[in-house]
Amino acid sequence: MLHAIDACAHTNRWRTQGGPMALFCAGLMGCALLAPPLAAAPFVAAAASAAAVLGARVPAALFFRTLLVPAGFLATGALALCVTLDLEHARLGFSGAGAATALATTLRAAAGVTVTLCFACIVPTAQWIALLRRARVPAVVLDLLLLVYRTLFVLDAEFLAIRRAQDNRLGFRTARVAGRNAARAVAVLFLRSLQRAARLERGLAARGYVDRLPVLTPPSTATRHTYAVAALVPALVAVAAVVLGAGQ
Amino acid sequence: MHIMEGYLPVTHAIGWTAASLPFLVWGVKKLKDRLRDDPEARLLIAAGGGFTFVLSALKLPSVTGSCSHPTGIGFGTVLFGPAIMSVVGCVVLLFQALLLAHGGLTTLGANCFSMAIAGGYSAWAIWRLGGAVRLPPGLTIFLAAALSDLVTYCVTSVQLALAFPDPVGGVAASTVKFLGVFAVTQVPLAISEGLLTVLVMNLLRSHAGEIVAGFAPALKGAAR
Repeated sequence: MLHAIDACAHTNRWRTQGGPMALFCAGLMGCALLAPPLAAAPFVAAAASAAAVLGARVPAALFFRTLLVPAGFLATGALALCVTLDLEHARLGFSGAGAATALATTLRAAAGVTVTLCFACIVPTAQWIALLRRARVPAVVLDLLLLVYRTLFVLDAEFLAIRRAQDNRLGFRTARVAGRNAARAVAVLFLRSLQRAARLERGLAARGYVDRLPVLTPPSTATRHTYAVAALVPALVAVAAVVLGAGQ
Repeated sequence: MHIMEGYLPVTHAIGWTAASLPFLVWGVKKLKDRLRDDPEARLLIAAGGGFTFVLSALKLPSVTGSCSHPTGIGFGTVLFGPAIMSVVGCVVLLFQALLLAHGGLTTLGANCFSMAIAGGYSAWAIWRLGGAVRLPPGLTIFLAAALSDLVTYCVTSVQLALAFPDPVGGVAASTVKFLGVFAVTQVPLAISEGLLTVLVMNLLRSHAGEIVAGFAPALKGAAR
Protein backbone atom coordinates (compact mmCIF):
# COMPACT_ATOMS: atom_id res chain seq x y z
CA MET A 1 0.00 0.00 0.00
CA LEU A 2 2.84 2.34 0.91
CA HIS A 3 4.48 2.11 -2.51
CA ALA A 4 1.20 2.01 -4.42
CA ILE A 5 -0.17 5.23 -2.91
CA ASP A 6 3.12 7.05 -3.36
CA ALA A 7 3.53 5.89 -6.96
CA CYS A 8 -0.03 6.92 -7.68
CA ALA A 9 0.56 10.39 -6.24
CA HIS A 10 3.51 10.83 -8.59
CA THR A 11 1.82 9.55 -11.74
CA ASN A 12 -1.81 10.68 -11.62
CA ARG A 13 -3.24 13.18 -14.07
CA TRP A 14 -3.65 15.97 -11.50
CA ARG A 15 -0.24 15.64 -9.83
CA THR A 16 0.65 19.23 -10.71
CA GLN A 17 -2.54 20.60 -9.14
CA GLY A 18 -1.38 20.45 -5.50
CA GLY A 19 -2.89 23.79 -4.43
CA PRO A 20 -6.40 23.27 -5.87
CA MET A 21 -6.51 19.67 -4.64
CA ALA A 22 -5.55 20.75 -1.12
CA LEU A 23 -8.35 23.33 -1.24
CA PHE A 24 -10.79 20.76 -2.62
CA CYS A 25 -9.94 18.16 0.03
CA ALA A 26 -9.96 20.72 2.86
CA GLY A 27 -13.41 21.84 1.75
CA LEU A 28 -14.73 18.30 1.56
CA MET A 29 -13.21 17.47 4.94
CA GLY A 30 -14.93 20.52 6.40
CA CYS A 31 -18.25 19.25 4.98
CA ALA A 32 -17.63 15.77 6.37
CA LEU A 33 -16.92 17.10 9.86
CA LEU A 34 -19.42 19.95 10.12
CA ALA A 35 -22.45 19.04 8.01
CA PRO A 36 -25.04 16.45 9.16
CA PRO A 37 -23.26 13.13 8.48
CA LEU A 38 -26.29 11.23 7.16
CA ALA A 39 -26.76 13.78 4.40
CA ALA A 40 -23.17 14.91 3.83
CA ALA A 41 -21.15 11.70 4.00
CA PRO A 42 -22.45 10.06 0.79
CA PHE A 43 -21.90 13.27 -1.19
CA VAL A 44 -18.44 13.84 0.27
CA ALA A 45 -17.37 10.25 -0.37
CA ALA A 46 -18.80 10.33 -3.90
CA ALA A 47 -17.10 13.66 -4.73
CA ALA A 48 -13.72 12.51 -3.36
CA SER A 49 -13.92 9.12 -5.11
CA ALA A 50 -14.99 10.73 -8.41
CA ALA A 51 -12.17 13.27 -8.22
CA ALA A 52 -9.61 10.55 -7.56
CA VAL A 53 -10.83 7.83 -9.91
CA LEU A 54 -12.49 9.75 -12.74
CA GLY A 55 -10.60 13.03 -12.54
CA ALA A 56 -7.06 12.13 -11.55
CA ARG A 57 -7.30 8.60 -13.01
CA VAL A 58 -6.17 6.87 -9.84
CA PRO A 59 -6.70 3.14 -10.48
CA ALA A 60 -10.15 2.30 -9.07
CA ALA A 61 -8.96 -1.09 -7.80
CA LEU A 62 -6.18 0.51 -5.77
CA PHE A 63 -8.40 3.29 -4.41
CA PHE A 64 -11.27 1.09 -3.27
CA ARG A 65 -9.04 -1.76 -2.09
CA THR A 66 -7.15 0.70 0.11
CA LEU A 67 -10.45 1.88 1.56
CA LEU A 68 -11.36 -1.67 2.57
CA VAL A 69 -8.90 -1.82 5.48
CA PRO A 70 -10.18 1.30 7.31
CA ALA A 71 -13.74 0.25 6.42
CA GLY A 72 -13.16 -3.01 8.31
CA PHE A 73 -11.89 -1.10 11.36
CA LEU A 74 -14.90 1.24 11.18
CA ALA A 75 -17.36 -1.64 11.01
CA THR A 76 -15.90 -3.29 14.10
CA GLY A 77 -15.66 0.09 15.86
CA ALA A 78 -19.37 0.73 15.25
CA LEU A 79 -20.22 -2.38 17.28
CA ALA A 80 -18.51 -0.94 20.37
CA LEU A 81 -20.53 2.27 20.08
CA CYS A 82 -23.81 0.32 19.88
CA VAL A 83 -23.14 -1.34 23.22
CA THR A 84 -23.96 0.37 26.50
CA LEU A 85 -22.43 -0.49 29.86
CA ASP A 86 -24.35 -0.22 33.13
CA LEU A 87 -21.64 0.05 35.77
CA GLU A 88 -24.05 -0.30 38.71
CA HIS A 89 -25.32 -3.70 37.61
CA ALA A 90 -22.24 -4.61 35.54
CA ARG A 91 -24.46 -5.28 32.54
CA LEU A 92 -23.94 -4.83 28.82
CA GLY A 93 -26.82 -3.98 26.55
CA PHE A 94 -27.81 -2.63 23.16
CA SER A 95 -28.42 1.11 22.99
CA GLY A 96 -30.58 2.81 20.37
CA ALA A 97 -28.86 6.15 21.02
CA GLY A 98 -25.51 4.41 20.75
CA ALA A 99 -26.53 2.88 17.42
CA ALA A 100 -27.49 6.33 16.10
CA THR A 101 -24.11 7.69 17.25
CA ALA A 102 -22.37 4.72 15.65
CA LEU A 103 -24.12 5.33 12.33
CA ALA A 104 -23.31 9.04 12.30
CA THR A 105 -19.71 8.48 13.40
CA THR A 106 -19.08 5.68 10.93
CA LEU A 107 -20.46 7.71 8.05
CA ARG A 108 -18.43 10.78 9.04
CA ALA A 109 -15.26 8.73 9.41
CA ALA A 110 -15.84 6.88 6.12
CA ALA A 111 -16.22 10.22 4.34
CA GLY A 112 -13.12 11.56 6.07
CA VAL A 113 -11.03 8.51 5.17
CA THR A 114 -12.12 8.79 1.51
CA VAL A 115 -11.10 12.46 1.39
CA THR A 116 -7.72 11.79 2.96
CA LEU A 117 -7.07 8.91 0.59
CA CYS A 118 -8.08 11.12 -2.34
CA PHE A 119 -5.53 13.72 -1.19
CA ALA A 120 -2.80 11.12 -0.59
CA CYS A 121 -3.33 9.51 -4.01
CA ILE A 122 -3.30 12.80 -5.93
CA VAL A 123 -0.85 15.18 -4.22
CA PRO A 124 2.80 14.02 -4.14
CA THR A 125 4.66 14.37 -0.83
CA ALA A 126 7.02 17.06 -2.13
CA GLN A 127 4.02 19.18 -3.11
CA TRP A 128 2.21 19.00 0.22
CA ILE A 129 5.47 19.72 1.99
CA ALA A 130 5.83 22.79 -0.26
CA LEU A 131 2.30 23.81 0.81
CA LEU A 132 3.31 23.39 4.47
CA ARG A 133 6.36 25.59 3.77
CA ARG A 134 4.02 28.27 2.44
CA ALA A 135 1.94 27.88 5.61
CA ARG A 136 5.13 28.76 7.58
CA VAL A 137 5.61 25.40 9.27
CA PRO A 138 9.12 25.53 10.88
CA ALA A 139 11.89 24.62 8.42
CA VAL A 140 13.39 22.08 10.80
CA VAL A 141 10.12 20.09 10.77
CA LEU A 142 9.89 20.20 6.98
CA ASP A 143 13.49 19.06 6.72
CA LEU A 144 12.70 16.18 9.06
CA LEU A 145 9.62 15.30 6.98
CA LEU A 146 11.68 15.12 3.80
CA LEU A 147 14.43 13.07 5.40
CA VAL A 148 11.98 10.62 7.01
CA TYR A 149 10.20 10.33 3.65
CA ARG A 150 13.50 9.39 2.01
CA THR A 151 14.19 6.65 4.53
CA LEU A 152 10.69 5.12 4.68
CA PHE A 153 10.76 3.16 1.48
CA VAL A 154 14.29 1.87 1.85
CA LEU A 155 13.62 0.68 5.39
CA ASP A 156 10.30 -0.85 4.44
CA ALA A 157 11.98 -2.84 1.65
CA GLU A 158 14.81 -3.85 4.03
CA PHE A 159 12.34 -5.02 6.66
CA LEU A 160 10.37 -7.09 4.16
CA ALA A 161 13.58 -8.66 2.87
CA ILE A 162 14.73 -9.51 6.41
CA ARG A 163 11.36 -11.05 7.29
CA ARG A 164 11.27 -13.03 4.03
CA ALA A 165 14.78 -14.38 4.63
CA GLN A 166 13.82 -15.42 8.16
CA ASP A 167 10.63 -17.01 6.90
CA ASN A 168 12.59 -18.98 4.28
CA ARG A 169 14.79 -20.35 7.07
CA LEU A 170 11.64 -21.44 9.02
CA GLY A 171 12.24 -18.61 11.45
CA PHE A 172 8.64 -18.50 12.66
CA ARG A 173 7.93 -22.18 13.27
CA THR A 174 7.37 -21.81 17.02
CA ALA A 175 6.26 -18.85 19.12
CA ARG A 176 9.61 -18.72 20.95
CA VAL A 177 11.67 -18.74 17.75
CA ALA A 178 9.29 -16.27 16.14
CA GLY A 179 9.69 -13.85 19.05
CA ARG A 180 13.49 -14.10 18.95
CA ASN A 181 13.54 -13.60 15.19
CA ALA A 182 11.19 -10.62 15.37
CA ALA A 183 13.63 -9.02 17.81
CA ARG A 184 16.54 -9.86 15.49
CA ALA A 185 14.70 -8.36 12.54
CA VAL A 186 14.01 -5.15 14.45
CA ALA A 187 17.63 -4.94 15.69
CA VAL A 188 19.02 -5.53 12.20
CA LEU A 189 16.59 -3.00 10.79
CA PHE A 190 17.73 -0.45 13.34
CA LEU A 191 21.39 -1.00 12.44
CA ARG A 192 20.60 -0.83 8.73
CA SER A 193 18.72 2.42 9.30
CA LEU A 194 21.84 3.84 10.97
CA GLN A 195 24.01 2.66 8.07
CA ARG A 196 21.59 4.18 5.56
CA ALA A 197 21.57 7.42 7.52
CA ALA A 198 25.39 7.53 7.45
CA ARG A 199 25.45 6.86 3.70
CA LEU A 200 22.75 9.44 3.05
CA GLU A 201 24.67 11.94 5.15
CA ARG A 202 27.86 11.39 3.12
CA GLY A 203 25.95 11.65 -0.15
CA LEU A 204 24.15 14.82 0.83
CA ALA A 205 27.29 16.38 2.31
CA ALA A 206 29.04 15.79 -1.03
CA ARG A 207 26.27 17.86 -2.65
CA GLY A 208 26.71 20.73 -0.20
CA TYR A 209 23.83 19.89 2.15
CA VAL A 210 23.79 22.02 5.29
CA ASP A 211 20.31 22.35 6.72
CA ARG A 212 17.84 22.58 3.87
CA LEU A 213 16.99 19.90 1.36
CA PRO A 214 15.71 21.53 -1.82
CA VAL A 215 13.27 19.33 -3.72
CA LEU A 216 12.23 20.21 -7.21
CA THR A 217 8.51 19.86 -7.86
CA PRO A 218 7.00 19.92 -11.33
CA PRO A 219 5.72 23.40 -12.23
CA SER A 220 2.16 23.88 -11.06
CA THR A 221 -0.52 23.96 -13.75
CA ALA A 222 -3.12 25.38 -11.38
CA THR A 223 -5.11 28.34 -12.68
CA ARG A 224 -7.78 30.59 -11.19
CA HIS A 225 -10.30 28.39 -12.94
CA THR A 226 -9.08 25.20 -11.23
CA TYR A 227 -9.04 26.95 -7.83
CA ALA A 228 -12.60 28.13 -8.45
CA VAL A 229 -13.80 24.63 -9.34
CA ALA A 230 -11.94 23.21 -6.33
CA ALA A 231 -13.80 25.62 -4.05
CA LEU A 232 -17.15 25.30 -5.82
CA VAL A 233 -17.56 21.52 -5.52
CA PRO A 234 -17.29 21.40 -1.70
CA ALA A 235 -19.57 24.45 -1.50
CA LEU A 236 -22.20 22.60 -3.56
CA VAL A 237 -21.77 19.49 -1.43
CA ALA A 238 -22.25 21.61 1.71
CA VAL A 239 -25.41 23.23 0.33
CA ALA A 240 -26.84 19.86 -0.73
CA ALA A 241 -26.03 18.36 2.68
CA VAL A 242 -27.59 21.24 4.59
CA VAL A 243 -30.75 21.19 2.43
CA LEU A 244 -31.12 17.42 2.71
CA GLY A 245 -30.16 17.47 6.39
CA ALA A 246 -32.84 20.05 7.14
CA GLY A 247 -35.44 17.87 5.44
CA GLN A 248 -34.58 14.79 7.55
CA MET B 1 -3.42 2.23 17.95
CA HIS B 2 -4.70 5.34 16.25
CA ILE B 3 -8.10 6.95 16.08
CA MET B 4 -9.41 6.86 12.52
CA GLU B 5 -9.82 9.84 10.24
CA GLY B 6 -13.02 11.77 11.01
CA TYR B 7 -13.88 9.56 13.99
CA LEU B 8 -13.73 12.37 16.56
CA PRO B 9 -16.23 15.24 16.56
CA VAL B 10 -14.66 18.45 15.30
CA THR B 11 -14.49 20.14 18.73
CA HIS B 12 -12.59 17.18 20.18
CA ALA B 13 -10.25 17.08 17.20
CA ILE B 14 -9.45 20.78 17.66
CA GLY B 15 -9.17 20.40 21.44
CA TRP B 16 -6.63 17.55 21.26
CA THR B 17 -4.65 19.40 18.59
CA ALA B 18 -4.51 22.45 20.88
CA ALA B 19 -3.43 20.23 23.78
CA SER B 20 -0.61 18.75 21.68
CA LEU B 21 0.70 22.06 20.34
CA PRO B 22 2.69 23.25 23.40
CA PHE B 23 4.52 19.92 23.55
CA LEU B 24 5.27 20.04 19.84
CA VAL B 25 6.51 23.64 20.03
CA TRP B 26 8.80 22.61 22.89
CA GLY B 27 9.90 19.56 20.90
CA VAL B 28 10.73 21.69 17.84
CA LYS B 29 12.80 24.00 20.04
CA LYS B 30 14.70 21.04 21.52
CA LEU B 31 15.17 19.61 18.03
CA LYS B 32 16.62 22.90 16.79
CA ASP B 33 18.96 23.06 19.81
CA ARG B 34 20.09 19.47 19.28
CA LEU B 35 20.75 20.04 15.57
CA ARG B 36 22.65 23.26 16.26
CA ASP B 37 24.93 21.41 18.70
CA ASP B 38 25.16 18.23 16.63
CA PRO B 39 24.16 18.70 12.95
CA GLU B 40 25.00 15.07 12.16
CA ALA B 41 22.16 13.93 14.42
CA ARG B 42 19.68 15.16 11.79
CA LEU B 43 19.94 12.03 9.68
CA LEU B 44 20.00 9.72 12.69
CA ILE B 45 16.78 11.26 13.96
CA ALA B 46 15.27 10.90 10.49
CA ALA B 47 16.38 7.26 10.42
CA GLY B 48 14.76 6.84 13.83
CA GLY B 49 11.55 8.23 12.36
CA GLY B 50 11.69 5.79 9.44
CA PHE B 51 12.39 2.94 11.84
CA THR B 52 9.40 3.89 14.02
CA PHE B 53 7.20 4.10 10.93
CA VAL B 54 8.13 0.64 9.69
CA LEU B 55 7.78 -0.85 13.18
CA SER B 56 4.41 0.74 13.83
CA ALA B 57 3.05 -0.22 10.44
CA LEU B 58 2.50 -3.76 11.72
CA LYS B 59 -1.24 -3.47 12.37
CA LEU B 60 -3.72 -5.61 14.27
CA PRO B 61 -7.43 -4.81 14.10
CA SER B 62 -9.15 -3.71 17.27
CA VAL B 63 -12.81 -3.20 18.03
CA THR B 64 -12.99 0.51 18.78
CA GLY B 65 -12.65 2.26 15.43
CA SER B 66 -8.95 1.92 15.87
CA CYS B 67 -6.20 -0.65 15.47
CA SER B 68 -3.22 -1.85 17.46
CA HIS B 69 0.49 -2.16 16.68
CA PRO B 70 3.87 -1.80 18.40
CA THR B 71 4.51 1.95 18.68
CA GLY B 72 8.31 1.98 18.91
CA ILE B 73 7.91 5.16 20.95
CA GLY B 74 9.51 3.72 24.10
CA PHE B 75 12.59 2.70 22.12
CA GLY B 76 12.79 6.04 20.32
CA THR B 77 12.28 8.04 23.50
CA VAL B 78 15.14 6.28 25.24
CA LEU B 79 17.34 7.13 22.23
CA PHE B 80 16.34 10.70 21.46
CA GLY B 81 14.46 11.99 24.53
CA PRO B 82 10.74 12.70 24.84
CA ALA B 83 10.67 16.23 23.42
CA ILE B 84 12.36 15.31 20.12
CA MET B 85 10.47 12.01 19.95
CA SER B 86 7.16 13.88 20.20
CA VAL B 87 8.02 15.71 16.95
CA VAL B 88 9.33 12.53 15.31
CA GLY B 89 6.19 10.69 16.44
CA CYS B 90 3.99 13.40 14.93
CA VAL B 91 5.89 13.15 11.62
CA VAL B 92 5.49 9.36 11.66
CA LEU B 93 1.75 9.69 12.37
CA LEU B 94 1.40 12.11 9.46
CA PHE B 95 3.02 9.64 7.05
CA GLN B 96 0.93 6.79 8.43
CA ALA B 97 -2.24 8.79 7.83
CA LEU B 98 -1.29 9.62 4.24
CA LEU B 99 0.63 6.58 3.03
CA LEU B 100 -1.08 3.79 4.98
CA ALA B 101 -4.62 5.18 5.49
CA HIS B 102 -3.91 4.55 9.16
CA GLY B 103 -4.93 7.22 11.69
CA GLY B 104 -5.93 10.53 10.14
CA LEU B 105 -5.22 14.19 9.54
CA THR B 106 -8.12 15.50 11.63
CA THR B 107 -7.23 13.08 14.42
CA LEU B 108 -3.49 13.79 14.17
CA GLY B 109 -3.57 15.97 17.30
CA ALA B 110 -5.38 13.32 19.35
CA ASN B 111 -3.14 10.49 18.12
CA CYS B 112 -0.04 12.62 18.63
CA PHE B 113 -1.13 13.37 22.20
CA SER B 114 -1.77 9.73 23.09
CA MET B 115 1.17 8.07 21.32
CA ALA B 116 3.96 10.60 20.89
CA ILE B 117 3.36 12.82 23.94
CA ALA B 118 1.70 10.74 26.68
CA GLY B 119 3.48 7.56 25.53
CA GLY B 120 6.83 9.29 25.05
CA TYR B 121 6.90 11.27 28.29
CA SER B 122 5.70 8.28 30.33
CA ALA B 123 8.44 6.10 28.80
CA TRP B 124 11.01 8.77 29.66
CA ALA B 125 9.67 9.12 33.24
CA ILE B 126 9.86 5.34 33.76
CA TRP B 127 13.34 5.17 32.22
CA ARG B 128 14.61 7.96 34.51
CA LEU B 129 12.81 6.59 37.56
CA GLY B 130 14.19 3.11 36.93
CA GLY B 131 17.69 4.60 36.75
CA ALA B 132 17.13 6.60 39.92
CA VAL B 133 16.01 3.60 41.99
CA ARG B 134 18.70 1.42 40.37
CA LEU B 135 16.40 -1.13 38.76
CA PRO B 136 18.20 -3.54 36.42
CA PRO B 137 18.49 -1.71 33.05
CA GLY B 138 16.79 -4.55 31.16
CA LEU B 139 13.78 -4.37 33.48
CA THR B 140 13.70 -0.58 33.17
CA ILE B 141 13.65 -0.79 29.37
CA PHE B 142 10.92 -3.44 29.51
CA LEU B 143 8.80 -1.28 31.82
CA ALA B 144 9.41 1.89 29.77
CA ALA B 145 8.36 0.22 26.50
CA ALA B 146 5.44 -1.80 27.90
CA LEU B 147 3.99 0.85 30.19
CA SER B 148 4.29 3.60 27.59
CA ASP B 149 2.24 1.36 25.30
CA LEU B 150 -0.35 0.94 28.05
CA VAL B 151 -0.41 4.69 28.73
CA THR B 152 -1.04 5.27 25.01
CA TYR B 153 -3.91 2.80 25.11
CA CYS B 154 -5.41 4.34 28.27
CA VAL B 155 -5.23 7.87 26.84
CA THR B 156 -6.82 6.74 23.55
CA SER B 157 -9.61 5.07 25.53
CA VAL B 158 -10.22 8.27 27.50
CA GLN B 159 -10.21 10.30 24.26
CA LEU B 160 -12.83 8.00 22.76
CA ALA B 161 -14.85 7.96 26.00
CA LEU B 162 -14.93 11.77 26.16
CA ALA B 163 -16.10 11.88 22.54
CA PHE B 164 -18.64 9.09 22.94
CA PRO B 165 -19.95 8.97 26.53
CA ASP B 166 -22.10 5.96 27.30
CA PRO B 167 -25.85 6.79 27.11
CA VAL B 168 -26.38 5.12 30.50
CA GLY B 169 -23.12 5.31 32.45
CA GLY B 170 -21.56 8.45 30.95
CA VAL B 171 -17.83 8.99 30.43
CA ALA B 172 -16.80 6.62 33.25
CA ALA B 173 -18.70 3.65 31.82
CA SER B 174 -17.51 4.50 28.34
CA THR B 175 -13.89 4.60 29.52
CA VAL B 176 -14.29 1.18 31.13
CA LYS B 177 -15.91 -0.12 27.93
CA PHE B 178 -13.12 1.13 25.66
CA LEU B 179 -10.39 0.03 28.07
CA GLY B 180 -12.01 -3.41 28.13
CA VAL B 181 -12.21 -3.87 24.40
CA PHE B 182 -8.73 -2.47 23.78
CA ALA B 183 -7.24 -4.64 26.51
CA VAL B 184 -7.83 -7.78 24.43
CA THR B 185 -5.21 -6.71 21.91
CA GLN B 186 -3.26 -4.02 23.73
CA VAL B 187 -2.18 -5.70 26.97
CA PRO B 188 -0.52 -8.69 25.23
CA LEU B 189 0.92 -6.29 22.69
CA ALA B 190 2.41 -4.05 25.39
CA ILE B 191 4.07 -7.05 27.05
CA SER B 192 5.32 -8.25 23.65
CA GLU B 193 6.70 -4.81 22.81
CA GLY B 194 8.44 -4.62 26.19
CA LEU B 195 10.08 -8.02 25.68
CA LEU B 196 10.92 -7.21 22.07
CA THR B 197 12.58 -3.94 23.09
CA VAL B 198 14.73 -5.72 25.68
CA LEU B 199 15.76 -8.36 23.12
CA VAL B 200 16.56 -5.65 20.58
CA MET B 201 18.66 -3.76 23.14
CA ASN B 202 20.51 -6.97 24.07
CA LEU B 203 21.26 -7.70 20.42
CA LEU B 204 22.37 -4.15 19.77
CA ARG B 205 24.55 -4.19 22.85
CA SER B 206 26.21 -7.48 21.96
CA HIS B 207 26.67 -6.82 18.22
CA ALA B 208 26.81 -3.04 17.87
CA GLY B 209 27.46 -1.64 21.32
CA GLU B 210 29.99 0.93 20.12
CA ILE B 211 27.78 2.24 17.33
CA VAL B 212 24.74 2.64 19.54
CA ALA B 213 26.64 4.09 22.49
CA GLY B 214 28.19 6.58 20.06
CA PHE B 215 24.97 8.50 19.63
CA ALA B 216 22.95 7.38 22.61
CA PRO B 217 25.27 7.19 25.61
CA ALA B 218 22.30 6.47 27.88
CA LEU B 219 22.09 3.04 26.32
CA LYS B 220 25.66 1.99 27.01
CA GLY B 221 25.27 -1.33 28.79
CA ALA B 222 21.57 -0.68 29.09
CA ALA B 223 19.85 -4.00 28.48
CA ARG B 224 21.13 -6.89 30.52
